[in-house]
Amino acid sequence: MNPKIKFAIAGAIIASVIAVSLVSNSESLFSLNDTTTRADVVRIGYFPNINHAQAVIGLGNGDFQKALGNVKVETQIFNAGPSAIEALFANQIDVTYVGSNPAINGYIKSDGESLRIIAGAASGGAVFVVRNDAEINSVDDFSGKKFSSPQLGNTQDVALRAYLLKNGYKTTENGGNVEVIPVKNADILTLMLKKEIDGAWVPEPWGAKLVKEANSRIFLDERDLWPQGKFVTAHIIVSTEYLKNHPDVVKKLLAAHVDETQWINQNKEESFKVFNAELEKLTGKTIPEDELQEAFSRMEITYDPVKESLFKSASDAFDIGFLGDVRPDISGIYDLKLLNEVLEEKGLEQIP
Amino acid sequence: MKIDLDDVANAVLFFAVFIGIWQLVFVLGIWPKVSLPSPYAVAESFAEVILNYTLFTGIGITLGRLVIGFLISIALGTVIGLAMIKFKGFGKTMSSISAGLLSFPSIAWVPFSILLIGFNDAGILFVVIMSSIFSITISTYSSVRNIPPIYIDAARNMGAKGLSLFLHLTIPAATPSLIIGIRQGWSFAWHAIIGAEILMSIVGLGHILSVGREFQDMGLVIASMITIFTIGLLVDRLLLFKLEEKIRSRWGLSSDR
Amino acid sequence: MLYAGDFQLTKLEAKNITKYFQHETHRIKALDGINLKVEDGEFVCIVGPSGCGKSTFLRIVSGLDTTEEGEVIFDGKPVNTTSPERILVFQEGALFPWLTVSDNVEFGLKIAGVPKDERREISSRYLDMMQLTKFANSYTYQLSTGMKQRVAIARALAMDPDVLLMDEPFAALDAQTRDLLLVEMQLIWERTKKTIIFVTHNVAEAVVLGTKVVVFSNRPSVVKKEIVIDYRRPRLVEDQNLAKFQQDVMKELRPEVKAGSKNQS
Repeated sequence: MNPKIKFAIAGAIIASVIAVSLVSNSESLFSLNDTTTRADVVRIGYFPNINHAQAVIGLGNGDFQKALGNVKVETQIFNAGPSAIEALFANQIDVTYVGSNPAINGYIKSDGESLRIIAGAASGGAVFVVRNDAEINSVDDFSGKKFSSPQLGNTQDVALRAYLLKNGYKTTENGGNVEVIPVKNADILTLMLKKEIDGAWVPEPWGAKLVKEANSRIFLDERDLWPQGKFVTAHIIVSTEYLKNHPDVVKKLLAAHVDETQWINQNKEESFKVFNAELEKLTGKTIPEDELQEAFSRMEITYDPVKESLFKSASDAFDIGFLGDVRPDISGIYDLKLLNEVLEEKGLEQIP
Repeated sequence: MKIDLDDVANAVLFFAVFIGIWQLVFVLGIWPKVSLPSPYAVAESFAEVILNYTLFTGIGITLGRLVIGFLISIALGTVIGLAMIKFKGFGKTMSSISAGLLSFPSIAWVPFSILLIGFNDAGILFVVIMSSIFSITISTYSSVRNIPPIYIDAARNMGAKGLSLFLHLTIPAATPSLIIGIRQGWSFAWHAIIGAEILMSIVGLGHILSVGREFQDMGLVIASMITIFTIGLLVDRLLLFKLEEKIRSRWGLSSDR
Repeated sequence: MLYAGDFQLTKLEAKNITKYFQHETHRIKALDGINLKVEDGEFVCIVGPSGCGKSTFLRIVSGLDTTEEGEVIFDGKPVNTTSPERILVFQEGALFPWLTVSDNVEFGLKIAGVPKDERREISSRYLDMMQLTKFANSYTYQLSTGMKQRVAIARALAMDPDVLLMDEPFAALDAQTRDLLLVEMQLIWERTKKTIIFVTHNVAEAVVLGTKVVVFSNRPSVVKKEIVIDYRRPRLVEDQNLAKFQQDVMKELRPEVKAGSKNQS
C-alpha cells in the first residue's frame, strides 16, 4: 500500500471522527457499558475516618448487615474522595460515604446523571491550625506563608482557598504570595514539625493531633464561618442506577445509618471505644482517647446533609476556579425522599 | 534529517486508526462517558490548557527539573562509577547495591524525600536523581571495565597517562556503552519526574495530570498522558537515538553499513 | 646498504629477562633469562615456537609489562615504564574506532601537545608513505586488515620513536599485501634508520627483513642463537639466495618447535 493511499485513509478516518464529534456533541449513542446492579448485593464504600463513623462502626460490627438482611453487604475502603467517585462511576460500588466537594465534582462531571446525595453523615470537624512560631496572629499575617490542605479540590482545600480569597489573598498559582500545598494528612504533620509549612486546614482528628504534637494552635474553627456552626463534611451518595433499581435496599441502608447515628450520639464514650476497635481492624492503628475527645468536641455525627452549606461550598469552589467557566447548577444533587420516609417512620423530624 | 515518507505514512495511519477505534468505542458507550471521554473532549482539554498557558508552563517546569536532575545524575553517577573502578572493594559492593536500586520504583522514594529533603524542588530532584543515577553508575563501571586492554596499552605506550588517558582514551572508548546507560537513565528519570510531580508538586506536567484526576476530568488526564508520552518519545527518538546511531555508525557497529 | 658490522652503539640491552605465567594452579616460566643486545639502527627479527613468550618479551621491552628478574637498559638507563620512545605495533593493530585514520595517526602527537598544523603535516607524510592518503578521513571499520596494519605502522612512525617494536604485524595479511609491505618495511628502515625489533613466526619474513635473526628456544625460553643475515638490500622474498639463511634459522628453530609441540599442556 503506497504512502499516498495510507495518508488518504488516515485523512478519511480523522475527518469522520471530527464529523461525528461535532454532530453528536460528544454524547455516546449507545450505552453498552455494564451498569447492572443487583438486588441481592450492595457494595458500600467508606473511609477509615472519624467523620464516616457510622460506616466504620456499623459495617465493622455487622449492624448494617443485620439491617439489610438477605442483601449481602460488600465493602470497599478508600482514602480519598476522587477514588471513591471513580469507583462509583466505574460501577464498582453502589453507595459511598464521601466528602462534600468530591460529590460536587462527580455530579458536575457526569452532567448530574450519575449520583445523588441521600443523607448527611458528619457536620463540622475542620480547623485551620497554625504553628505557634509562625508569627501568625491575625488574618493580616498571611503574606508569604505556606499552608497545606489534605488534597487538591477537597472540602478543606476549598475552605482554605475560599478563606484566603475572602481576606484578599491570592495563591502563588494565581500570582499571589500565599502558597497552598496539598499534602496527605500524615505528611502535614511532618511538614509542620519540620517547619516547612506555617499552617494547615485539616479535618479532625488531625486538628487535635497537630495541636498536641506539632506545637501549634487552632487559628480558626471552621464552624465559626457557618450559620449555627453547621456545615457538611461527609455525606452518603448513591449511584442513580442503583437508587432507581433498588430503592428498598437503599431505604434499609438509610435506616441502619440513622440508627447508628442515634446510637453514637447517645453513647459517646462507648462509641469511641468501638470506633477505635473497628479502626484498628481496618488500619492497624487507633486514635488516642484524648484526641478523639477533642476531635469530637468540634464535630457532629448526624444524618442531616446541611444542604445550604454544600451549595455555598460549590459556589466557593467555582469562585476559586475549580469548577470550570460556567457557574454550575447542582440543585438536583439531593434526593432525600427515602431519608425522610425513614425519619417519619421513626418519629424523627424530617429534612426539608 | 532525512524523513522516510513510508514511515510517516505508517505512523499517521496508525494514529488515525487508533483515534477511529477510540471514537467508535466511545460512541458505543462501552465505558461510561465520565470514565472514557471522546477524542473530541480530550481535544477540548488540550485546547484549554494550551490557551491558558498551563500546558507550556508545565512542560517547561517539568523538563527544567528533569534536565537538572538528570545532569546531576550523570555527573555524580560517573564519578561513583569511576570510583568503583579505582577502589575494587567499593566497586564490588556498590555493584550489588546499584543492581538492587536500579529498578527500585521511583515513587517509593517520594515519602522518604518529603521527610528528608522536603516538599519542594530539591525533594523532587532527589527522587529524579535516585531513580536514574544507578543506570549511570552501572554503565560507567561496566563500560570502562570492558574497554579492551589493548587500547589502553596502545594509548599509554604513546604517552597518555592520568587525565589525558582518561579524556582521550577512556571516555571515547567507553562511549558507545555509556550511551546505552544514559538512555536507560533518561527513561527512569522521566518516569520519576512525572511520579514525583503527581505526588509532591503543585506545578508541572505530572501535577496537571493529578489535577485532572482530582477533579474527575478524564479529558485532562488523557491529554496529560498524551503529552507525557509524546515528549518522552520525542526526546528519545530525536536526541538519544540519533546520538547512539551516530556513535555506532562511526564505530562501524551500525546494522546498515 | 647497511651491514651487520656498521653498528657500534648499544641502543637497548635486555639482561636476564625472566617472566612467569599463572596457569590455573601453578606458575609456568615463559622467559628464562633472555639476554639480548640491540645496536642502534639494527633490524632484529625474533623467531621462536608458538607460546614461547616473544610477544611478552616485546611488551617488557616497551615497558608495558615488567620483568621479574633482570632489567632492560635503554640508552644506558633502566626501563621501568612504557614510553613513546619505544613504540609497540600490536598484532591486531589496536587502532581506535572512534577516530578517523589521520586522527589515529596523530593520537600520540596530540597527547604530546604538538600543534594542529604540525600534526596534520606529520600524519599526511606518513599516510603518504603508507599509500593511504585517500583514506585519511575514513573510519577504521572501513579499512581492510592490511590497510589497518599500515595505519598502525604510520601511527607508530609518526611518534618518531627511537625503537620500533613490531609484534607479528603481518600475520593476518594475505600473501600479496605482505610481500608489498616487506619491501616497504625495508625502505622505511633505510629512510628512517630506526632500531627495529620485529617478532614473527615466518622465517622467510625474518630473513628478508632482519640484519640478524634471534632464535628463541621453547619455553622456558632463552636466546638459542643469533644468526647474522649478511646480504644486500633490498631483499625480495623470492630470492633463492636467501634460502641458505632460512635453512640456518630452521636448523635452530625446528627442534624447538618439535619440543614445544610435545609439551603442549
